[in-house]
Amino acid sequence: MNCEVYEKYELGKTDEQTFEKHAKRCQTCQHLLQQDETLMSLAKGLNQPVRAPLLWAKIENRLRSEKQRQRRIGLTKLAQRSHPLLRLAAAVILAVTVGVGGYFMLKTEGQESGLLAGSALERVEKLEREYVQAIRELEKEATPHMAQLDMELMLLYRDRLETIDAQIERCQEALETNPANAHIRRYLLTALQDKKETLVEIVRQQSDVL
Amino acid sequence: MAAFEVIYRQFKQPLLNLGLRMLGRQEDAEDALQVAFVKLYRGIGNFRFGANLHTYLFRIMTNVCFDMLKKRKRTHADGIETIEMAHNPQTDLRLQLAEAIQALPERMRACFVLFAVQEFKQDEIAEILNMKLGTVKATIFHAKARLRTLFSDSQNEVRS
Repeated sequence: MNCEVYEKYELGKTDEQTFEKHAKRCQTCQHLLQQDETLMSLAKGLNQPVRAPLLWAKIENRLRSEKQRQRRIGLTKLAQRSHPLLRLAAAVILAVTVGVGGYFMLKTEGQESGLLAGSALERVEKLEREYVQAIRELEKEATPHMAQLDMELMLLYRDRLETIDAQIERCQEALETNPANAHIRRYLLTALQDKKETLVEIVRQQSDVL
Repeated sequence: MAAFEVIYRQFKQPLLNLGLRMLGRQEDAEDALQVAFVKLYRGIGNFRFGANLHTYLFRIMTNVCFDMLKKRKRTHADGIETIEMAHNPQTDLRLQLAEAIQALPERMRACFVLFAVQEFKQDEIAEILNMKLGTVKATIFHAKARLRTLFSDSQNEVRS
């Protein structure tokens, strides 16, 4: 059963008013419309929630592996095409990271307890301050770039940065009561690195557009 | 990673549902969503073509589903046989519809699922599937015509 007018209407070749007028006196169209309505309402009923409790954990694992893969591939490419200011910021950050990281490694080898002592703590705090300062400068550069991004992308980045900032804040609070704890400092370093990567990504996004 | 978790929480259900309707099995839908997220991660830098994230995600997911279907190399070309085989007035009509959707050709299935199940507008479907609006309209029209047959047959059998 079919009606030419109905087909034209479905294909957008007849406007709604003309079709409605026609449908009032065409039984075939009325029947087709009724069937369509039932079909559409049945189809909407297929949009039921699907339970997948462990799926995010699986996705997160795949994203982490992908991130590591990209980091390996991307480091050389990034060095070749990045903005000169970015290169400078990256160089400072890399130097500080290597310093802090190297220090932590040496410290862990020498100290089983995970506690930082006297002069070591002073040095770590100094390097951390420099690292934080470098990130602040990068943040200053990235803020106007972020404002120019697509709204949804900007919201995603803002959300990511807020989460990282909250982690940093938690680590810093914990360090106030336990400043010599190398483990917390390592968490803090990871959060700071995450923030740096996010900021670099924002600046890169915008420079790609330009 | 936190940003991706936000996207996941927001779009998990419709994307999984699309995967399920396209691929027919939940394990495959979950696999498709994992691949889609990796693709999203890789391509997030390219996301600036004026489309919204919703459309962009569905485009990735449908492409992943098409790839998976290609790999599966299924043999039923137009699925009419499956519609008839699945046809049983005693079973739930919705279940029959789900099976009948599985039997539609891939592009037609994607058009119908996006339109009728996910309630996308036709121009959005055209963008997601990279098709012309007229083609989308015609495809949905033919999908409905095929599915309507199943539905009317089923009603007739219930009556008789």
